[in-house]
Amino acid sequence: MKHDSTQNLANCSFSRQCIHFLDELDTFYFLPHKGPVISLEQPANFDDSFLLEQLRAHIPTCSICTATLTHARRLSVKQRSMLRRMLAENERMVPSTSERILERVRLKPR
Amino acid sequence: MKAVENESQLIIDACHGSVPAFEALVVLYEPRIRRMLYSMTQDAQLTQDLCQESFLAAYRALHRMNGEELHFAPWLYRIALNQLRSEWRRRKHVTLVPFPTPYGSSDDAFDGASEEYFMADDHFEEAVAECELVRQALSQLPTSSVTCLLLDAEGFTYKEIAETTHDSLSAVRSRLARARHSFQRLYTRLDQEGCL
Repeated sequence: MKHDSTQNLANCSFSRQCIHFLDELDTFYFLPHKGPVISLEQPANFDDSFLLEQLRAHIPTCSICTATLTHARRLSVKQRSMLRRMLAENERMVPSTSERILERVRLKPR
Repeated sequence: MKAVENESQLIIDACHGSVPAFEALVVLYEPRIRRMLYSMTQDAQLTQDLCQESFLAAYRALHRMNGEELHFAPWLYRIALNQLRSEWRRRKHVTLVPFPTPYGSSDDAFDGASEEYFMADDHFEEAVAECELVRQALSQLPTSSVTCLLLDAEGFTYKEIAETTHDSLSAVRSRLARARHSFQRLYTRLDQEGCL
């Protein structure tokens, strides 16, 4: 995975929040037509909902936050892909225990 | 997160004592629990033991649960993580040091897309190297960060991660953002150092 640094990006006071709310922002506002990156519920917390609305209004007007969000989105997609490949490989490296579990369950019903 | 359409009914039946329903849940979830535990221990034997104990603990506890309200995946992962924590306490520590492991053990539950990725000649070495770097990067992160990253990669919602880890939603959000940043920093450093 190539490293694309955010260090060159200037700061905006909202940028940190953009990264924290990346998944919610994408799921509810910015990428809904592509389907959610992951499944999310609307935040139950009023402060979070308010902040999300603020970010939704702010981001299209801020090139720094737009770039920050683009970078964070790219990074999280890459990381999830890498982690999923590692998980799949890890699954292959350890023999299944299903049969042992089922045998014990059948031997000792509750 | 639900692994199959009729999972809700399986959970209800399993809570009512149906062994076939529980067996179906084992078939669905055992590979996921196994790969998560191995990601955190890098020890195949320990992973198998913990995996088995997690499902048996779940089986023993299921009859006390309300199947219609039970969020099975977070509940089961929480049991597995508790088993792991108990083992760590018992052993004082399990060193999360990645080690080269021979490839070749077979398992039918291998993910199709990943299999395709690994089996293409062009990708194989690159994929193996990438997996090792990912393992090394994870081994240097706090357990709570690793847990969040893995559950997120498994498709858990923030709410489900919070349920699994007994954290608040905002704690999960912050932890995940920090974990992604730290993971990226570590991965890039290891890659640049040519750690393989």
